[in-house]
Amino acid sequence: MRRHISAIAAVWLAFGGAAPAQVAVWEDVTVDYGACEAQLKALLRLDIDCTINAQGGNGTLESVPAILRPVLRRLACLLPLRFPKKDIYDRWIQKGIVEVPAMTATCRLSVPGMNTSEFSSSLELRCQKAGDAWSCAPKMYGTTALGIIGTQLENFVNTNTEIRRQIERAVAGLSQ
Amino acid sequence: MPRISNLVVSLMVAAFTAQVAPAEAQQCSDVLSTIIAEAVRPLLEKAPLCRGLRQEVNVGFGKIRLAIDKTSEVRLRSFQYCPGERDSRLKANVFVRCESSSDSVVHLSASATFQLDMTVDNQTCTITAFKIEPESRDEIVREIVRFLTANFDLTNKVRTEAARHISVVCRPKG
Repeated sequence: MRRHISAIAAVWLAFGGAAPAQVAVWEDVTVDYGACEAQLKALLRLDIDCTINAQGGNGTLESVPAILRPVLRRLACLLPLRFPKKDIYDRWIQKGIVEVPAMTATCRLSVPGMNTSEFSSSLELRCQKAGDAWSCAPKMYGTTALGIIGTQLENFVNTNTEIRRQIERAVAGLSQ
Repeated sequence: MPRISNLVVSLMVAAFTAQVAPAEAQQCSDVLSTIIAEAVRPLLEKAPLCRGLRQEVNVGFGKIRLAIDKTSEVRLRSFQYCPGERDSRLKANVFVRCESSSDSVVHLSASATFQLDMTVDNQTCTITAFKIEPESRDEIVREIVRFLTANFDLTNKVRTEAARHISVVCRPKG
């Protein structure tokens, strides 16, 4: 299963959420969450042990700060998911609240002819339902080895309204 | 005269530098340097770095106004990015050629290569240290640059210009 979406939204889609028809911000990032989706759908399987892959593309990334565009185009990230399925309802999902604990993504930046540069980043997500609408706040932090680029990347993920909207739409899809 | 022009040009290039005080260990990365240079190069190479390079010169019988405020070429020759935990260091080697406008009485052209070195705060994207040095080994040229920097507040002017460019790179709509 490959879609052009944000990595955080992909986690939610892996849980069976509806795919966003169109995304504006990270449409140039390809996310592969097929292995996780299959494990989640396997009713008798008690745990999840899979990895979500995200790969940058060559799009314009117009809403992304200029300094991040070449970074996102050369980015390849892995987000391993390992947890017992019972945690989903015991710990992650309660009535009107979705709280995904911290996960660590490891990423590589590649330029032909050079050694790759590696970094890691922590991701969390908290969503709350108010009335009929979900309000979600992704939190990216602790990015290593990127300096100002890491800070700018975190600021972008944590404050961009389009990323937030994608996640809220994916979470709303899980409610139906 | 061309020497003075060269020096003045060099000061403008400081639009991308500052007094660098390495406060922490920053490890330079070839991959990140290459990738970030992609973002910096198009902005830098179309920046009007020669703007404002005008001065009156006493030629004995009177003063004439000389200007090399038209930017004819800017080239980012090398770029190095060294990320740190609190701030990041950016070093660049930049070639600049400035010339007089076509309507000038005296047509001048000057070019110089500069080594720029600045430290930027990771959180705020602001310049915390800044330095610009002409690549010339000519001590007279270097002295003139020091004199102009000290007397015309050029370092701050250039630093302000650098800060403007960095904020462009950092903000969402570049």
